[in-house]
Amino acid sequence: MSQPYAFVNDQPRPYVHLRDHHLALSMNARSKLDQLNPFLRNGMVMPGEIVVVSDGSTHLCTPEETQLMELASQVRGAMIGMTSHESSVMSHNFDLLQSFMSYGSIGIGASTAAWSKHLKALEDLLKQTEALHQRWRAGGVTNDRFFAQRRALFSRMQESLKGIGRYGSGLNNQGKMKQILGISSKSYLHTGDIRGYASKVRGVTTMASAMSKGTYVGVALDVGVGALEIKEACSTGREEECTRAKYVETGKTVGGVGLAWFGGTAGAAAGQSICVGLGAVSGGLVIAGCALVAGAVTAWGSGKVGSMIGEGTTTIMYEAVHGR
Amino acid sequence: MDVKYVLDWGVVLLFFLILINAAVLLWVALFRLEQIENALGKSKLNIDAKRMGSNVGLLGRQYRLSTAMGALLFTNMYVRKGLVDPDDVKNMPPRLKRWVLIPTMGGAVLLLLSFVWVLMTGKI
Repeated sequence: MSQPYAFVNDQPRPYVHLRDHHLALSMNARSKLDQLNPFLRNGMVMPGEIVVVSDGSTHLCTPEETQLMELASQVRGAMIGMTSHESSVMSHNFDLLQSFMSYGSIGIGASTAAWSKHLKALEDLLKQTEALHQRWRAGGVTNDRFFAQRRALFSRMQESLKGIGRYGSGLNNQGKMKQILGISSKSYLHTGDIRGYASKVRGVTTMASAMSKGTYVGVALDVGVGALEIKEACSTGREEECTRAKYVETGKTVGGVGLAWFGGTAGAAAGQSICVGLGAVSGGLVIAGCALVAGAVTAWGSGKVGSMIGEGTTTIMYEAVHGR
Repeated sequence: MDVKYVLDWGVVLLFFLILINAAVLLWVALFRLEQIENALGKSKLNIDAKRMGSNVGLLGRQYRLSTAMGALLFTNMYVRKGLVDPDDVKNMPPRLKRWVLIPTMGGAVLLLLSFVWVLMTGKI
């Protein structure tokens, strides 16, 4: 019996076109494809989405097929809210993103942890603004007090959105605060549309914290990829290849993570110092942004070099212990 | 002793030094960071780093350590910009400075040597 497989779609195309022309499946296989891809059936298949294919004619799903369907569904869930362009960039640069995730995230993670705090503070300000509007609407505050309090909140918000502070917030920093938030006292009474911004910022906060957790995911991925390589070598190759893979993959992971940890920390320090030297002394936010960029790049580069050092070392040790 | 032999066993030594250095840095981030930050006093840089990097786990500590690292490596520049108090740095116990500076400088040398090894062996 043939094994099911899955592939990553690389460009937007109608599902029917994909099924009937791109994959050119038989009639039996077409209905099976519909069954395996219930989320894709009625529309466009976006780049980055997983398509599960099996030419088995039975309507019962095998455990492998169910597993692939779950994976496809998880990927689809993760892509909700992405534009077609974003998903296309993601699918075309998946290898780069994946490698960046494993080492670069050691640098990024440190700064995103700090960044998520900044976004959380911004979210609180938005919530306070919304609450103030609601109190005013319900007649709980006089006009004078409302405008004075709102002015104070807006100036704090404007301060937070200065320079790179707006990144990740989904808000720009052009014009008056009211325009930035897209509210006027009049329209608010009808729509209450500041709510949309609060949820947007909440979303970004979640993303920032997910990015900081991404470090651990990245390291786990790296360890997982190494373990898979070992498993593959041990199940398909000779015993010699299996032992060699155990040495080399372990060395690559340990060397990569070890040097990326140093590179991320030192890069973040260098990035902050460069920005201070260039005159960015307005506060923690700008400095955190500099740490983010420099830390990520150096962690990624050092991780790659560390991985090569680990590979070189363990290869030499393997040859010394087991002979060439 | 030929070049290949030196490159081969040099990388083994490099690998273990990298691991030791990473472990020392991790130990500093976990067990010496508060002392270092207290010694740096109430400078703006320190307060901002604590505000943004506290209660966010190990990664927040990594961020705070990188801030202290920058302040100790480029003290004059940070002092000129008013981000660090020169007396705080001057009065900081030397052993605390060493905990930051030795793994930083050591790591930089190891990273440089790693890069040289990668170039010499033609891996990039």
